[in-house]
Amino acid sequence: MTRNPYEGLPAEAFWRSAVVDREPAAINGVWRPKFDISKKDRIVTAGSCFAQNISHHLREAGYSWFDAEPAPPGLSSELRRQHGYGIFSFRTGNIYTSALLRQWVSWANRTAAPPDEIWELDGRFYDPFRPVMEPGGFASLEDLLASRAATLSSIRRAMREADIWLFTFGLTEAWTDADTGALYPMCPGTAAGEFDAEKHLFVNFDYAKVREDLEAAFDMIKTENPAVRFLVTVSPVPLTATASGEHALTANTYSKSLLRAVAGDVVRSRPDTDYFPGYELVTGSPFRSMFYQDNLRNVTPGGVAFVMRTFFDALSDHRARHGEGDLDEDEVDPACEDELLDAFGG
Amino acid sequence: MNCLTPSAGESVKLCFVGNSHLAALRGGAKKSSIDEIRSADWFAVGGEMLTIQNGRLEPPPDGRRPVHTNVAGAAEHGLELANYSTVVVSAVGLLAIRNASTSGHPMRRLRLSSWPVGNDLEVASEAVLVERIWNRIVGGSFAKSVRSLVAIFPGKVFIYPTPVASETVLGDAEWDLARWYGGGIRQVMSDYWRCQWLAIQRFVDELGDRAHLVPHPVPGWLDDGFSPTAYSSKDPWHLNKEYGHLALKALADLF
Repeated sequence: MTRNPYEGLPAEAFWRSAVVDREPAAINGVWRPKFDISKKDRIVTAGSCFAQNISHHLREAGYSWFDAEPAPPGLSSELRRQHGYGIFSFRTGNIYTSALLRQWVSWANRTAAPPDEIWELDGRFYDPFRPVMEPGGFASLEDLLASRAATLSSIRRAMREADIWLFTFGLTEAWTDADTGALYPMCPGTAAGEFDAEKHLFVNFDYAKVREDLEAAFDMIKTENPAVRFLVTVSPVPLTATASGEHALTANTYSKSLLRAVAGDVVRSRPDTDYFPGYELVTGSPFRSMFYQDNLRNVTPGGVAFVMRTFFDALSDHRARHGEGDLDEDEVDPACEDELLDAFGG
Repeated sequence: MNCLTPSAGESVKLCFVGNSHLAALRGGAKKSSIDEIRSADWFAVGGEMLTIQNGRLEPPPDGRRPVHTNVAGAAEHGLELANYSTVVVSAVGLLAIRNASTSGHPMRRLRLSSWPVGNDLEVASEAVLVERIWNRIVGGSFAKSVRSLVAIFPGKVFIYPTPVASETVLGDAEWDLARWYGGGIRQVMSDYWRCQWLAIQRFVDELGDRAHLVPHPVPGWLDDGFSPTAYSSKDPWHLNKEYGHLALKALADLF
């Protein structure tokens, strides 16, 4: 009989044995880390809104989430959150695209400079590139620039001191300034500012541009810190709206497929970069959308916990902790069996 | 229309599934006045080994744990969930806090600031304790199986919380928690069960509209920290058929 390349492959290589024959939440082995991450590694998190969940879980599990821009002492937890502290490693807000990551990194290492554009409304000042970092706007232009400088300094520190840089892709769509080419994190006129159809241009990045920007950003970080390793994820949170003219469903599929393809190819070409499949763990058909909230967009806390447990379970520090008896789900409590034997007449 | 009322022309067929806490319900069911409960099918596996594959309840792989069931052949070949209109699960919650319990149990890691200082555990707020309990529950195999069950089963799923342990446990002078907290143990356990209830509510809420949490049959036990001695037999962490009878009434109230 002719042998074929599929003979002898492990069970995880086959859809039936790896997925269909398992209960959804027991699908495991989805991630085999290219490199290990220890609890001592300083982990930077940046990216789209799904990445907001990661810092909390890393801290909770005893990992070293790198807070490069810590909140001033005495700030309440509510104010810290309102002002963007403790969410990502620095106070940029969401970084949905690799182009925006590249922009922040190039401003931080001073190979480029932010344009002079500032938005002003009713005597308050808004940063076009961090429009939600100061609710109600800054009291003065000086305050705004000082706050942005602090964030750029924090990004520089993160670039130099991170052991792991985790970036979560969100979108391919963005808005750019026609004159300066600067990218906005949000469309002007949504959170702040005023939309100008002549000045504010819609872009939907293609594969080549997304990949070029990601690798350029990683290379700049690597120049500052040759030992850093990168972890890329794709947010399972669909886009809120598309300006592409397409249906939201097809626009989202285009965007996520492209980002996933870039992540896969970058991981194949760069030994310093790995992909964590949080996207598949939420959006995959085996999970039947059970990790989405009613709006079919936001991920439930249980979904986030499931994703993060898969993450931690693959890391050796976590496995070692289990080995020390932290949690043995298969442990046998003799009383359990006795109760059942009595009740069922066994 | 109440939760269990079928549409016209449909009949109710109940399946009780779960872990060792199903034993109490099984005992209580014999006295139930509800036909559907008395004629229900049962499928239990001790510990955290409930296994669901291809729409079926399956015996644990490799025969690692026996199946307890009243359905012929189910222990060997499993049960088809499509045969049922409603599934009742018992019980979701944390494992017993025995001295031999693994060190990862939140009650061996944390204490509230209002509890007597009888150990050097980390002091936490109630919100943190709820979070730790919830994390532990959702990360456990049993909760994962319940989540899978709700995802694939089209009917209602009723979920019991782990019952409040009986005060018989206080008879064990060596029990760590009683040694640590002395006269404050009732308040400690009351806080623990309340926090666990909030964590279970959060877990069930996330499962969607088809999942329903069955309330504790005697809410006052949460305030007392323990259920009365009469509601356990051999093991204080597993309640008996008297509890099962009350718990099934609580279920019937949802019907």
